[in-house]
Amino acid sequence: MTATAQAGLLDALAQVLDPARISAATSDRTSYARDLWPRGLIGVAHGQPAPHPPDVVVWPESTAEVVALVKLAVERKVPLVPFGAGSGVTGATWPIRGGIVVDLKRMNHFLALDPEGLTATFEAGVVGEHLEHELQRRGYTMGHFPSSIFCSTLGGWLAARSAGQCSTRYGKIEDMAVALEVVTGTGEVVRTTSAPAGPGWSQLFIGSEGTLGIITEATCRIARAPAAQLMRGWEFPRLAAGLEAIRRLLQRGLRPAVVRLYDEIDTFIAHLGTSGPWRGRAGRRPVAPDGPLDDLRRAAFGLFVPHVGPLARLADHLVERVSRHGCLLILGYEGDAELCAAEEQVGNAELLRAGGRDLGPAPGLRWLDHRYDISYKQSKVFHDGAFVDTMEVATTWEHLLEMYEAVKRHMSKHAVVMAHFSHAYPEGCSIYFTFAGGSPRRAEAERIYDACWREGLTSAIGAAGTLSHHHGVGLSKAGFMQEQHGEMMSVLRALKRVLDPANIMNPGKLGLP
Amino acid sequence: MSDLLQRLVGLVVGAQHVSTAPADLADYAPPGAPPPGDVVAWPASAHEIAQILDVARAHGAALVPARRGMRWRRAVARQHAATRPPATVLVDLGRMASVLQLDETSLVVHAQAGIPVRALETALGRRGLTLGYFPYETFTLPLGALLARRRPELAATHLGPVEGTCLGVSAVLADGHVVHSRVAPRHAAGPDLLQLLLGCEGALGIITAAVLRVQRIPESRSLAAHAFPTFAAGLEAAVECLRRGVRLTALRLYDAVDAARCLGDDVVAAARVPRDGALLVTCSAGAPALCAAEVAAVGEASAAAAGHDAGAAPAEHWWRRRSGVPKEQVAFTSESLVFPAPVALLDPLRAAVTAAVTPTRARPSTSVSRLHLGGGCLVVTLAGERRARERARDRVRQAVAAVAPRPGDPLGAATAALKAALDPQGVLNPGVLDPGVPAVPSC
Repeated sequence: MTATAQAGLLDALAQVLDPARISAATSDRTSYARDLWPRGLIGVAHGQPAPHPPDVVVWPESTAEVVALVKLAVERKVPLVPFGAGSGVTGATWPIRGGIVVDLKRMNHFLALDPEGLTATFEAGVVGEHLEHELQRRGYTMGHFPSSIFCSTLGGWLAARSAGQCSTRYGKIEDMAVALEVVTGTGEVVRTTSAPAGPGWSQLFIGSEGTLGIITEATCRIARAPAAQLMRGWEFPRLAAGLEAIRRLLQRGLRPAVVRLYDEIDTFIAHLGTSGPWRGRAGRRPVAPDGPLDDLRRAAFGLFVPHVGPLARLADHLVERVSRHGCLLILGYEGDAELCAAEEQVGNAELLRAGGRDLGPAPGLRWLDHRYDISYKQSKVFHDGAFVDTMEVATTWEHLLEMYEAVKRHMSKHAVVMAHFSHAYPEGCSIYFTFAGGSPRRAEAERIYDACWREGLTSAIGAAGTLSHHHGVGLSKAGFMQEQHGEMMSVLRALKRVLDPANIMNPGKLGLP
Repeated sequence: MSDLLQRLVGLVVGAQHVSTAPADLADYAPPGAPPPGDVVAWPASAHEIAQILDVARAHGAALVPARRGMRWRRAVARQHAATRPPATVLVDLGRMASVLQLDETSLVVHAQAGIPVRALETALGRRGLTLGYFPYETFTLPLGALLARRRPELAATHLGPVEGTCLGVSAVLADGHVVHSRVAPRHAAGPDLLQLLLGCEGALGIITAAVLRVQRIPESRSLAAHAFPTFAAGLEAAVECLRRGVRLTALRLYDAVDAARCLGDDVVAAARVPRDGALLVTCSAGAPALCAAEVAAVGEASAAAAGHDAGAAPAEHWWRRRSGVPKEQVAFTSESLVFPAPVALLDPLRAAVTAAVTPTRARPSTSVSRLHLGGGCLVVTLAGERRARERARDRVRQAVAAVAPRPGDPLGAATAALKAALDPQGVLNPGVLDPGVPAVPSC
């Protein structure tokens, strides 16, 4: 955008917003140029923090102001990119065609609580931690605890189909949303409900990543704050045995809040970060000073140290070392005390029958204490010139191990890969792959990074998986949308044309124009 | 035109699988109403439906998914016949009625849309599986019809509406493309496009197959019954169970009259249900320890709402009869109307309905079922002679419309625009997404 056009845009914006909530300052434009997509962080590490700065950043305070912004953007054909707290990892908020970034964090009010029907209504810009705090001090919980809870918003969760660490009990965000208020790309305010007629509109706006409209308000299902929380660790000799145990557990009707089964490498790395009594056979090495990521960082570096040799040999070496430690399962129940106790009793019997070894509450409690830590320790990895990223895919139980092995086989050619299985359902499960690699040269690091994703996603989709379980699509997976949806992409394109005919809403995302 | 369409469609499906015979067409309308189409075809595949669509599009005809014995009101049928396009091809998926795959590891079944739900349930039952405890009306429909229309009145207490168990569909779009949604427990790959096809009555695409979650037939079942001084107290106890996280497989709350009508005077007397009171019956299913914990939780909620344990007998009686039609309805001396409503409106709605019926000579009774925290269904049973029931029925509908109007499509204009974008010629079930035009109501 030329300086003249930008000045004109600022003048027009000043007609609809308080000028104090409009900025074209370089510092703001740089801050809002990216999210936490690791490919962007590689650029940051190499001195390019803002590949696509927006022309303007605005902070609306009401739905009426958002409507005015959308109408202005339509009139001037300027892209509009909604922004929550910027913790996305797919580039969904990158303003790749410039325009206006709309930061919704000033729309953060708690609007209503229905204690009878157990729902709560918030504005979309509320940060997760604050939302949960508001509910907890009234004796309720949303049950949505993504690791980004301190730096993500309700609107962002909805836009990307987020999942929290207790999703097996409370569901993903799309299971919680009851009604939405959305400003569409035409500037119309719509309120979705579970109306019996027509398309399920709520589920069409959820996951649309700002391409169809801006979610300004949401009513979500909540629960009473749990009276009991029972955490426990289990060890399984093999990954397949642990998965089988989880499947049986869920298909018997149990709904633990937390289900996390770590593969052998992830278990090994997790063990390194603790000196607790549950370490068992894994506990002879000194504790890594920065926990799991520090070890992963060292492993990633090993990948580009010439004398290490072929990656396959390294991977074999790692697997051989770690296979002695088995797989760690963290399982937690929460809710009504009597119901939890009954679930745990049934669940424990099932896990023992499947060959699990009861490690007691300590591993679960430790995980609970540190469950948000990992996301805040990544910068050191990037600072040292390596990268780390996560790929979360899902499929049915029948294809789960096949998908795990295919993804791992292909990604391991380029990076150190480990995984845990969380967000489990009676019909399937998500796999959360963590991979780390790098190169001292930026172009080479990006090539390796892209290869990891390309081969990882191709393998996942080829093994009947879905390209994302809860991080969304953004830019990072946009190229795989056609493969994911096939001819259904024509339906998504039609939806986009109807709700955003001027194509101003976050253009270029989700594989859309 | 009908003859031409019959010939061309016959080339696609075979001459024996297409008909213009009045007797065949009459199967798709209520007795005495004009047929809703000119030609009826019985395709055997999605590919054949796509080809029929080509024929319809080329000749300005409409294509309407249909099934024999569709239950729609005669007045609507007449209005539809008067306004429908000049040529309409009815597509009956009755030949597409196979179970394509049963994945017993993931507990999902892939079946064609024309399979009667009862047949699907029977096939699942042979493997120790079930779709879940859905109301018995569910089993009278083909799978495609069940998914094509949102029917909160057919929800299951523990699973919600049937479409909530659907993980994916195959469908024929208006442009003839056959699409398959990817099956996964959950995804974050953009909007859930499945939600465009479910509930759209074939107007955006014809569902030809679906993948559904199934359940193992529970290893044990515990039934319980509690009597309450008032209906509101019983409702509060039931909702409190849900708030507490009790995942009941099924429940029903009867007023005293309805309890006597459905379960028998002797059962209600033994349960000591007060005259203006209510009887709550519940079913917990699954692992025995879990069932026991749930039964205990129901007991606590009951006691907190001034209820008393009525023993298991009324619930056992309910469970035995729940898949049957009451004797009175078989004899056409009573009829039931079902109204979905938010939880907060269920008791006011019941009061309004009862008051509305009082001036008539019909004898009303009520119950609540399909209860979840978002809402439930008020079942209003009207007994008495036919004319009294008809008068009462109209008054009930007016009362319901005043207290708990059924919401329409909140984005009606966008839905219509989407229809125009995906089906610019308006070939697929025209009028369904346009509130001004009567359409076949339950394809």
